[in-house]
Amino acid sequence: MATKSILGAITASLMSCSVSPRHPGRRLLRALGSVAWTCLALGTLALSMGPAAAQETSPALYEGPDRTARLIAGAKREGSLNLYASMAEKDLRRLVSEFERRHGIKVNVWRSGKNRVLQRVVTEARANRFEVDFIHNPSPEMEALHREKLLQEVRSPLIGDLIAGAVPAHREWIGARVYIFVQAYNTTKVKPEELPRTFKDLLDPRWKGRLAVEAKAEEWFYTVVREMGEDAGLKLFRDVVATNGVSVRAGNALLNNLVVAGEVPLAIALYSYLPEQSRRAGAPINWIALQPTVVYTDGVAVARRAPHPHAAVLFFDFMFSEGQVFLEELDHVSTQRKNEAYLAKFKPKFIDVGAVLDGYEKWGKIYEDTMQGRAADSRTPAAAPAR
Amino acid sequence: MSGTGGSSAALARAPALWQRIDLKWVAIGVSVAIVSYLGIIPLVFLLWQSFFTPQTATKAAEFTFGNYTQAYSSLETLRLFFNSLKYAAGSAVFAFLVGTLLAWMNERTNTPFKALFFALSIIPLIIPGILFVVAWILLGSPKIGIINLVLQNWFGTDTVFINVYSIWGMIWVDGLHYSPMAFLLMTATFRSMDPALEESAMMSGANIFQTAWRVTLKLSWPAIFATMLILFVRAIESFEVPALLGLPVGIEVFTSSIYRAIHQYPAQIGLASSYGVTLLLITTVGVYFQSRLSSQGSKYATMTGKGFRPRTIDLGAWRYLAAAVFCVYFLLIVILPFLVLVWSSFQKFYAVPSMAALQNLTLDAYRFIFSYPTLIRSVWNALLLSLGSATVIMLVTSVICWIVVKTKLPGRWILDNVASLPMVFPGLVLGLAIMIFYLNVDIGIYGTIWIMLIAYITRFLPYGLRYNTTSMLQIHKELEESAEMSGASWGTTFRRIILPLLKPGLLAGWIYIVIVSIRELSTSILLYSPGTEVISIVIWELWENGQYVELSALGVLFIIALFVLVLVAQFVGKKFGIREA
Repeated sequence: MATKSILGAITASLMSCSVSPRHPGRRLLRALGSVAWTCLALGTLALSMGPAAAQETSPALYEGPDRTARLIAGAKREGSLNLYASMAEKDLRRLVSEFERRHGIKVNVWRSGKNRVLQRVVTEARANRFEVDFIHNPSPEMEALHREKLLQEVRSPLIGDLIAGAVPAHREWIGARVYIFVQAYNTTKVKPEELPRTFKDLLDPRWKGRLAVEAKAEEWFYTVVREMGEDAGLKLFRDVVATNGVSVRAGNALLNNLVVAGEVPLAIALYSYLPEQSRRAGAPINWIALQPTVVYTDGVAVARRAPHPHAAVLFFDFMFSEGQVFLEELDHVSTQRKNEAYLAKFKPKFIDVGAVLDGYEKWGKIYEDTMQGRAADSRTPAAAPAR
Repeated sequence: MSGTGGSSAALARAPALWQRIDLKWVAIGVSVAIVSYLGIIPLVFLLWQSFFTPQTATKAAEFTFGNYTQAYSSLETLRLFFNSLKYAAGSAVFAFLVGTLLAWMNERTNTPFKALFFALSIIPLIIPGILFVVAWILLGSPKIGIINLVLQNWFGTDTVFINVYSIWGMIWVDGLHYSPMAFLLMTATFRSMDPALEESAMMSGANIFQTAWRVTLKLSWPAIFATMLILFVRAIESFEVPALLGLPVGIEVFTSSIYRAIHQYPAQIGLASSYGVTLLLITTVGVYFQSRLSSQGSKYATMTGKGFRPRTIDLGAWRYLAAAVFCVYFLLIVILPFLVLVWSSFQKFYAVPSMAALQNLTLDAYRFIFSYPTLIRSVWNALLLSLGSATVIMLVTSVICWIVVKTKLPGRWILDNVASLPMVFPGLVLGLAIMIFYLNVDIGIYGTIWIMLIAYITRFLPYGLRYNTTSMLQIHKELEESAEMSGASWGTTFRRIILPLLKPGLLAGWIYIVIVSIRELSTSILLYSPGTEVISIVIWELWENGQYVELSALGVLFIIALFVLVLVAQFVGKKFGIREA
């Protein structure tokens, strides 16, 4: 409605401007002009009323001093919170029970894989069923939800304490943890002096039959190759595969377990928390981070049509205060600015989530072809990325 | 008995005719309605989707043939499809041979200890797929495989004795995992077989193997066909073994294209569906040929008006060999993977068995499992769903396969086909179809356990149908006819004649569905809601988080529980058996 009226006002005012004031029928035109201006004003008002009205109804955008008090009161009224997440159950469980204990608000958790979380939120919304309040998923999947216009910006004062890579320009999702892609090795199968210092060292024939990657790590691959310069990067990995072979394993957890079991002496890309957790349990595994080191964040967000908006925003604030403290206790790297120095040691290269989404299909194929040692040319050209 | 007879005689006077017709058509109508409803929703969804581009907030879905051209214009598809065919055919034949041999020894021979072997035979089925494959990696990998290490140690060589990372390794692991499916199907067939023909063959001088080959197997041809069909289609649709064993050495299969299409943004459901259409066609051809077999009348019906007791063949001294075969099988197939699981469940992380690793034994994994917050609820939900869906499926499909096998209704093979197609829907596509349907047709089941029950029934309907069909083919029409002649209504005939005679197939199918639906993951993971978690979600959860030892502990508990359950069921069954005699 607002758009229509403003379009009308613009055309009317354009008409009134183009007409000379000395024209005989200028009274009429002036009258028309004033009507137009009124329309324009009304239209602008209507347009600005939309978000303004939303501002008042959505607690996500409220920034007054009584913000927290309002959120707690509102959340108490709402009574519960529906959370869809792909975070590991054992980590999520602690977060949720602490939130429940603190605020007395029941959290209904639905946990699934990242693709299913995305799929469920989108499918429910298309059928006009709005159940989810709060979503947690890796950042590329959160970016997809942003593109689907299913998230809303939260103006939380806590966002100011986070590293830059955790906060996208639209602020519709915010990163809570950093995943670092590292190289994990079995300490009984790989001697410390053997360890590669650069990705080029993987060309050494000593690595023959000892390397593996995860099957769906294209976002890591894309970023590494881009950092190396696309042609040089692709050539390096093709050469590594041609010289030493790389076995492709389906699933990060499997790859980590196979390194622990000694089946895979060196995994070329793995989330750092997996080998770190195993190492602390006493498993013969450790990790290094070759340059360029690729990192990315997960993302949390409040759903645009959240049925329990106060509780959702309250949980959002909880995530970036006590929640992140919990996550650090569980060996995760939070996006708090105090971790900047730690992260800087890795010279982290953040994944460009937008580009990853656009190039999923293309880079998925390039990655597969490279790791399986197939010439990319022999296959049908990848379809243009669907937006 | 006399009470029922008396009352039906009394009722037979006035409304008998319409009553008789009514019940028959009500039962048929309800069953056909359920099956068409369940089968057609995902089918329409799949076909419909295959003609559309993905929908996003900024771009509406558009009609296109692009999915088909993209899916079928590349050599890549052909290469993957050829791999799939090789793998599925190999795995189906292997599973069939193993399952049938065991079933034959168990049902038709006097092999010692066979009651125990029955329970052991279905254990591979209950082991979660991922665990089974990983156990075989730990046994048969060229680098760390225990079998290789032990043999290399014995013979003092570096030779790799077995390698699971190969097409043969894939066939071996998948075939073993699904051999219980063939075992159960063929057990049912052998159990309903009149031994008279076998006995005549023996009398005429045929030896045991000639009899088995030329009589027993010939008579079970429809069951063999059905078993091969279902094993083949399932293997071509399977994902775990190709992903864990094929991918590392570059053997990719057809399903990997489907998964790649689904797991991107925006999800290429249309492309995945157009790949799925090939699987639909293969199944349709298979079901059509099966229906040709069924229409050959009573050629394969061995259960006639003549009474018989399925007697076993005396193997003589051979029976010790049979027992030895069983023992080797269980050592290799059941005990070895089971021991790998037991070993890793007592560790903090997986380590190759050694004296050093013995120091690290711990019960932590079991403690973790027993303190898992949603464990009890998940087990309870999974039991409700598996028992519920197995019972509904076996009852509904018994009527469906009666229609398909025993009537001459035109188009009945299409009914068979509609009920068989859900087998080939990629799990996630099936879940999505059901989800979208019940979100838009809001009858209040979305987010409840009922939507999962519907998904389970849809997903396992084809298996129930195959189990029932193989047994139904063995029942001669004359039994029904004599019941009718004696004045029984259709309902009475069905309840008192058909269902009891169908019991071996009903029971085998029921056991199979109960077990595999406890493992069902790909549709549950999209459709479950807070409160309706199932045990397979817990398994997936542990796996995703790399908690392999905890998962092993859960697997061990699973196997023990199942083993006890089957033994109890057998004990109860035996008691009933005695009463029958």
